[in-house]
Amino acid sequence: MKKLRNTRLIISTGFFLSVVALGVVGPWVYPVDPFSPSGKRTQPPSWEHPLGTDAHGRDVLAQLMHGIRTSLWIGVIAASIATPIGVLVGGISGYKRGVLDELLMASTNIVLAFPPILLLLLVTVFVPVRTRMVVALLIGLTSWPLLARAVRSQVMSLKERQFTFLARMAGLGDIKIVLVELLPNMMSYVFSSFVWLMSGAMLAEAGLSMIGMGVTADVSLGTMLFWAQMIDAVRRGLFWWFIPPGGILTIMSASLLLLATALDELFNPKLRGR
Amino acid sequence: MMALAGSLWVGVAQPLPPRHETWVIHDLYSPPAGFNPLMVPGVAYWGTYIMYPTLFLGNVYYGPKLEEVLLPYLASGFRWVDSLTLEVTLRPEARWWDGVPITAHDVKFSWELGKRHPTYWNTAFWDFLEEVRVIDDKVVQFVTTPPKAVYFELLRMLTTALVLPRHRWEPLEAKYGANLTVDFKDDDPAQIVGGGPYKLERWDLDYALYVRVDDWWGKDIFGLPRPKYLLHRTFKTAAARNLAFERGEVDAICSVIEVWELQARGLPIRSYYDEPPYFLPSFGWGLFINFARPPLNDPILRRAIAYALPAEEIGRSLPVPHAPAHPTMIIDVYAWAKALIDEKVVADYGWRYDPEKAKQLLDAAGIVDRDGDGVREMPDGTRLGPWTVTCWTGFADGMLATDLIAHHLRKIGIDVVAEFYDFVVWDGKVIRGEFDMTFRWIFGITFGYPWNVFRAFLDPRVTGPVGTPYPVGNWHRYMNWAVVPILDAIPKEPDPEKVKAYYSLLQLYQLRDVVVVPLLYGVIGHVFSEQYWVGWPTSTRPDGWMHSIVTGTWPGALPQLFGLVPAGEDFMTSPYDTHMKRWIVPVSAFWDALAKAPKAG
Amino acid sequence: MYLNVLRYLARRVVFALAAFLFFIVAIFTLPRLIPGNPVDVLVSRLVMQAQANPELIHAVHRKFMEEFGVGLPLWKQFTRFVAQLLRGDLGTSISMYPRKVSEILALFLPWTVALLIPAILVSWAVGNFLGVLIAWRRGTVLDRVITPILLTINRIPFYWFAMVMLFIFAVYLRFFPIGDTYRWGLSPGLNWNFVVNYLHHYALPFLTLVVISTGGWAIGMRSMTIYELGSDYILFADLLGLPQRRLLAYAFRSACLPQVTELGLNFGLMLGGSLLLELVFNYRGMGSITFQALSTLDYPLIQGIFIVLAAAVIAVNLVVDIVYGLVDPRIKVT
Repeated sequence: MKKLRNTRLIISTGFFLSVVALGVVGPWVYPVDPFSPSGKRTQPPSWEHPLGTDAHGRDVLAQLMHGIRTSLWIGVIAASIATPIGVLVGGISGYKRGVLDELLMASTNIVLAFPPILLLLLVTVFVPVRTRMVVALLIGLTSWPLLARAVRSQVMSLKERQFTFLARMAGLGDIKIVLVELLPNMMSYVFSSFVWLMSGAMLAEAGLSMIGMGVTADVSLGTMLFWAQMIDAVRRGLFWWFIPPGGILTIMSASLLLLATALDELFNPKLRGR
Repeated sequence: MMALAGSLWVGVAQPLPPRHETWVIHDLYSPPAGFNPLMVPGVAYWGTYIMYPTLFLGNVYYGPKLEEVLLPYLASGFRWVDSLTLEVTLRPEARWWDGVPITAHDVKFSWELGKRHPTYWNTAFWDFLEEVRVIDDKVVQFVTTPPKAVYFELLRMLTTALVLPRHRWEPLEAKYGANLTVDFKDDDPAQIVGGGPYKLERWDLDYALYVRVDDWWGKDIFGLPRPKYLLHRTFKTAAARNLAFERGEVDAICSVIEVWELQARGLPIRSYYDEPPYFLPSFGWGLFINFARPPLNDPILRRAIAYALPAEEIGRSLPVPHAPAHPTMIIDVYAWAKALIDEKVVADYGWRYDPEKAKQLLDAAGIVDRDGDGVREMPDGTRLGPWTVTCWTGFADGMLATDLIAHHLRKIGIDVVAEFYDFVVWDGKVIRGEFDMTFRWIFGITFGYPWNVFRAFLDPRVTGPVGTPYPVGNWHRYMNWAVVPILDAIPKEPDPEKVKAYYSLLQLYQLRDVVVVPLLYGVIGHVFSEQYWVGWPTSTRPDGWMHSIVTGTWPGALPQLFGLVPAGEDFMTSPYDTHMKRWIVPVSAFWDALAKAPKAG
Repeated sequence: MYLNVLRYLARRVVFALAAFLFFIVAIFTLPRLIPGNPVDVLVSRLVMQAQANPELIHAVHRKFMEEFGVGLPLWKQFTRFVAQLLRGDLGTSISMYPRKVSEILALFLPWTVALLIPAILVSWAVGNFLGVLIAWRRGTVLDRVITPILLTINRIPFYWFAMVMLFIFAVYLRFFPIGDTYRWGLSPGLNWNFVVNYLHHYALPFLTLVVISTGGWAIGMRSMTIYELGSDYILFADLLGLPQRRLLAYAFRSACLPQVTELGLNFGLMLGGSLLLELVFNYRGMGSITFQALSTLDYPLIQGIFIVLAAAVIAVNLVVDIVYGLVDPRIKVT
């Protein structure tokens, strides 16, 4: 069983790292400017343009590599913002309970109840210039609630466990219990949540960009899809243009999610099959 | 309940009109809000232009030479009583669909509706008009005053203002009052009384179907158009519309698409020219540099910017290539417009792409890079930048052009980056004068071209303080009051030589102060399919009545419709060729008559 | 005991109302924070199209500014807005002037509901069934192969998947029409022509939505069931020697409850997804008008759309909470 789990871990990590490599090492091996038109429009894949060109004659492969960077960057930053917020809100809520819990959870639920894309739209459309940082920030600030809810229930269950009880009996203070007893027990969970949030953030970025509300002056996987849709690539059969960005996005996002679940199952034996 | 379900089940399957008898066009806007022509344009449905007549039909792209012409529609003729009174005679045959004759009273009533209802866009010509006077049932006079006389606007009024039946609209106005333009949608086809060759049959969210009026009053004068049905379809996206067009479900679209790609696939699709540039130029694009943001108002800096931009290269890099625009903003493709260009002024003050010259200009003016950061400074030390050149996201061609502009300006030592906003934000900033540089449209040809362009971009009266929105033009805040008397004189001046001299002065200001940097001509989207209908205006059709079927300029497109015959027939037998085109008169007739008219006391 | 239930319900209702109020304020404020306003946009578009003379344009600009109160101070606009809202009036759209916002919503909302609700129910049922199946077979090849696939499907961007489906089944194989809601010219109604045509257009967006959301439900159900299967009472029953099928049925029953709550949460998620999807499929619905409203900054329409959507999401969650409260025995005792 252990071996199997490791295969999943290895496969998902492998997929993820190869996409990362494409984004990080790619532009170095394939130094084509993703922004400058080559003069040949909507060319199917060829030796000169391995993934063809778009309607403005820009190289799709070069855009893809650049887009992977943008998406990864946004994913990491957004997850780095959302994770601490989620852990903090969930942790306090779960440990303190009472009115504070009620309030925190109420606000969490408000954010949670609303379609994330609509929430993002409502906020994003009103930011005049959307750099990568702005988009990452917005996604980070809106994607923590699910984590908060999960952390809360984790904390609640950990709190009921024997060791917490014993610690309290031993006269340890709240903060100390949280820091010394609870947090270490949750580190693995927090880490896999980070991975999972990153995967979600990249999808969220794409969703925004795909309808023209994402990064305004940069190439991301989402903006590639946006242009493909604008210029009607589906109907015109320019599959080399719109298939790769979505495919890469799916691979990145799914491998991260698989990684997160594999990690979860590794650290959280209760989920393992008997 | 059962009855309701039953009626739904039975009562709905209406037959569609036969495709070969139907002329199908599109419109990209949202579902029709109604058919009340008094509603805001762009919202008021274009069908109102086919159902209600205008006094004249106008065209600025007539025949192979692309001339300005008039076609008397409801009017049979005009004469200048004096230089301030235009008399129009109505056709004796003209009558509404219900048989009531169309009279001068209808004209007067329709015009005066515009006085009472401020959104009555098409006829709100009261800034140029003093009075509409009924002489008798078929003779009407338009009276203006010396300060109000803007003859271009009168000409536009004759060709775009719709005449409505007084006997229907007077009671309606009494009923709805001030809400006539808002609450009254006029969306019941059976109630509409018009006087045009087609009437509304039925409509839904995604289409409006019009049927030919077979006993139309104009049938002996203009002939009856061949398409029995007009179908106007609404598409939610350009993609869906293009698809329908390729499949032959739509006969014409008014946007710019890659015609040659479709032709390569064997589709019977054509545009105005059969070879590059495929489309007629109009409505252009330029770089607007804000005078309100020093040192961007520095004439030498502006000149250097103009020299640094390769308009031709930018135009070529777009999916549908655009031609570089003439620096005067006058479209030099049309002979009559080109005749207005003052070559001497252009030689003295004009520019063309020459980055070395741009650098020399800056160097000579002491605008050099002193601190070695690659960016020049003004003599007083002000750094050239960081600035932005903006455009709106979603406008792919514009974004590409904007990127190239920034790129080329950086090459001569100006710190500029391209920045893209959503349309609302971008537009809001531009009309408030809150931008450094922006890539935006330059107006195209209408009656009064190029006066309308100079009026929009040189006139300090159309703009105002930074921070307040001025949507009309002069977003760059060019405050040269010397242009005002010239702009005011042109539309009142009957002597063509004097007009030409005035235009020379305007060109001098435009070029000397680099008011706008015109970059690209836009193109008139005119793409059609010959699968069902032939006889479309092209560069080769004799006496073609080229008119884009863009919503806002619709009434003038009617003759285009008369020029069509079913595929396989000879289009020279169309009602346009057999009946209609004999009525066409050059616009110069209007001006000549005006020049000869006695001066009003 | 009933007091507890009542208190729980009261708390839920108060929460729902508070959430709704929060949204109304947000929806009012956010669009007005950016430079530019809808009247400018409308007029700029007119200028671009019609090139009318400056005096007229200024007159129209002034008229609209007055009519929509766009130039007024924010608090005045807000009181106007609230007063209107209390009368049940959502105002007049600016980008589709002079249509009423309520009229526009009535034209578009039903089509989104027709797509969304069946898709949610079908994907919920199919997903949960799949989830239990996999949980039952956990650790086997089936689980090891299907679970990652489901996880992957769950991560496919809605919008892109829609493009791919459209490309394969409509553009390439030509099984389905390329977008649209029904063939133009048909009048919606309960007649054979229309229904068949509508379903033909409906199939692809519906399937796309179902396929993508099934993955999430299955994964959720799988872990829930496995969790329940590992719980003490099932272990006890297992020791008692009850048949596996019975155990599974017990586990399923308890796992279903949280899945119902998830339904509330997922409603919002799927609503967002379906809006994007509608854009790709050119399906008449809230997606296209939301996009239009945002891109023209049509304050009244944005408010109308978001108020309706927020109300729907909050109401669904409230109903789910209430049902949950009535069904879940634990709430009665706490």
